[in-house]
Order: sequence, then structure tokens, then C-alpha cells
Amino acid sequence: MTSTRCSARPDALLDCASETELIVSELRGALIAFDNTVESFVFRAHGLFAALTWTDPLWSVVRALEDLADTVAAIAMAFEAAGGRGASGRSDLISSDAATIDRWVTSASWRPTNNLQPGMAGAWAAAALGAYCHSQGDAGYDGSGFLIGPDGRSYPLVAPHVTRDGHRVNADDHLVAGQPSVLDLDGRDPGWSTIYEQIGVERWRDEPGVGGRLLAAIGSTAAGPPTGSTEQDVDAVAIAPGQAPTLRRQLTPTPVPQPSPPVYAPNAPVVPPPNVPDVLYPNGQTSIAANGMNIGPVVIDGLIGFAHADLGSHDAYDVVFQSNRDGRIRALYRRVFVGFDDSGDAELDSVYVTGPERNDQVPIVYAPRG
Amino acid sequence: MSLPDFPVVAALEAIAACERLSAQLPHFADSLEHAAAVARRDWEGPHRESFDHRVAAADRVLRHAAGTLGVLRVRVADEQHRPR
Repeated sequence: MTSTRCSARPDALLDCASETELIVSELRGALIAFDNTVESFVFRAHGLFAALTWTDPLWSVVRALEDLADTVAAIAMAFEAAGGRGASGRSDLISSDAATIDRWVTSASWRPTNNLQPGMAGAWAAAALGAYCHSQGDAGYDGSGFLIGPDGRSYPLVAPHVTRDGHRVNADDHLVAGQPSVLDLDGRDPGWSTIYEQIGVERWRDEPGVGGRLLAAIGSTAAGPPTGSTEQDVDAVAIAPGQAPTLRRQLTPTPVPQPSPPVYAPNAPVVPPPNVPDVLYPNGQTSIAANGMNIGPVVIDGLIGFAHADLGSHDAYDVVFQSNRDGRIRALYRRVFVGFDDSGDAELDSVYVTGPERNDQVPIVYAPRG
Repeated sequence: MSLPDFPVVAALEAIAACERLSAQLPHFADSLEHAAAVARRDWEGPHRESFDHRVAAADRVLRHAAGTLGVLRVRVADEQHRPR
């Protein structure tokens, strides 16, 4: 069996991908302006239907160049991974066989949320800790499940923690090179290097079906319509290795109407009416029409809940695969959720995913910046 | 002489749009060639060959479209003399 050798510098390919994306952006702007003008002319000269049939063949080039930029970036990342990320710089010339690069390119379609697996406690401990015993109260790892990586290997999911100045922290923020890192338990478990990292936005739960939406609708009738983030909100989260997440732009919550007040809610008078001190309020609302009007707001809340049931279904994620000098491998899978407080300000919550179940997660407390 | 119900202003704007885009497209093609040259530094192997084919195809469309826009411009200008 022969292997085809190939070589490239990842940073050169990434520069090309960036330049191509810029060309795509400018070309798209130019075509939109052009189409608007031409469509306006065709509409005025030949009518609406003629304008609708106008198609600009240049849009196929925009799509082709978008695809080209994505491919080149994926190949760059593939060369970087093949060269052993961290072992060589992005500007180094990396040689590999083409099949390896193809495997890494294919891994670009890999998503962590589809590759979680449960693990037996013994299997997880053996894989994550090996011959070491790092869970000693003030520092250690939580976890239970595994993540099947793009390379097909099973990586134990770990959530590290250390105690500093009496406070338990789970991740670094603006880690300075040479400073103690939570990821190696402040030096107690050294020797880790990153093999591969993927950062993106994912749907962490399926889009609710009719049943799920009905449940949300029923819940809304009691607790009010749900509040939550959209995929676009989550897309504004900036994640970088060794840093707490931040927002790239200001967010405003998706407008959801306030819970509807009941139509009839008269307060009991301070002084009860004479002769009928035990009267119940609202009084006299026993007609079908009145009851129907009272049900109206409940139905409205239910409909709003039905429509907004999918809010909060996306997160930003950062998954890092690492190997240790002693042969262990592991994955750190961080999810960042966007929510809104009562005043409408965006809030970010981070967790480590430690297994496939919804409660297989450890809230992250970031270490104060040094 | 243009026909009475012909949208002259819209036609002139369309002609100007054709000329503008026609002038821009070769620059896009040149920019793409520059981006490709950056990638080609020390890049060897089958992925490079595939890349070259795709760049060449996009380059052909961009440069050919510049000429097509000239034809479109003439057609728009000719519209006003067509019986309606």
C-alpha cells in the first residue's frame, strides 16, 4: 500500500482562508447592491414576475468561494493536528500522508454532543487517573463518562478543581504562561499537552416536538412564558483557551410578553359588605362567558410558551483533547449557556460536561485573574 | 428617443451598476489569486491540486462575468428602443 505525502504550513493556509472570506464578504456586498438596482429596473420595466425570475449567476461563485475558504481552513487545522498541535508551530512546514490529512478534515464534521458515552466508575477512574490518585480533597477531577474523539478514541471526560485561598475553582481565566494552571491541578498532575481543540455553537437538546412544546405551554400557564437565549445570542459568546467566556456584543433578550393578568381579579373590600361577610371574590363570575374570559389569559400564556419552547437550547462549547507524557488521554468539554437576568442583562454560565446525562455536568467557577 | 413609459432613471442606474460591478470583478479575481498564492507557499499534495482547480474555476467565472455584464449593460440600454 502506498501513501501519498503532502506538506503545508498551517498559518499560510489560514491566511488564505481569511483572505478568501474577506473576498466573499466584499463580493456579497457588491452583488447585493447590483441585484437591488437591476431588480428595481426589471420590476419597473417588465413587472413583478419578471423581477422575481431574475437570478444572478454570480451567487454561485460566492457559494463556491465560501466553501473553498472552509475547506482550506479545515485542511490547515488538519495539518496542525497531524503535526501534533503544540509540538510544532503554525508557521512550521508540516509533512504527513494525505490519508491522515483526510481523516482530520473529515473530523471537522465531528460534534461532541453526538459522541458522549456513559462509563463505569472503575473504567473512568482507570482511564482518567491511571496509576495516580489526585482526588485528595483540595484538588482533583470529577467525571464519569467518555467522549469518542474525532480520531475514534475514547477520552475520559474530566472536570478539574483546585482550592486556592479557601475557594474551589474549576478553570483558569487569563492564564499567564508559567503560572499554576487548574488544568494540571496547580502542578500536581503535569505533563498534559493538547492534541486537538474544537470551539463552536451546538444544540445541546433536541428541538422540542409537539409534546415538548405542549409541556412548555402548560408550564407557561403557571410560571409565565419562558425566557432564554437564541442560537444567535449564543453565537456572540467568545471562548478562548485558558479564559473565561465573554460576549462579543451586547445582547437583548428575545421579547416575550409578560404573563397575562387575569381579566377579573377584584380585591376584597376592606370592609365586607353588610349581611354577607363570607362572600368570596370575585363574586358573581359564574357565567360561561365570564369563565371563558378568565381562561383567555391562560390560553395566551400557553400559546406563548408553545412558541418559545425552544429558547435556551443552544450553547457555546470548547472541547479540548489532551494526552499526557505518561500515556493517559482525556477530554475537557466546556459548555457556556446564555441567560438573562430580571433586568434583561445577559449572563453566562459555564459547566464541564462529564457524561451523556443532563445532570452529568459540573458548574465552573473561574479562578480570579492573576 | 425613449418610450414614454420606460423607466429611464432606473435604466441608467442599472447601466451604472453593470459598469461598477464589471470594474470590480477583475479586482476580486486578483484578490483571489493573491490569497491562493499565500496558500501555495510550500503546499504540496493532492489537496493542493484540488485547491488549484477550484481557484481556477472561480477565477474563470469572475473574469468571464465581467464581460457578460458588458452585454447586460448593452441590453439594458437597448431596452428603451424596443417597442412595448
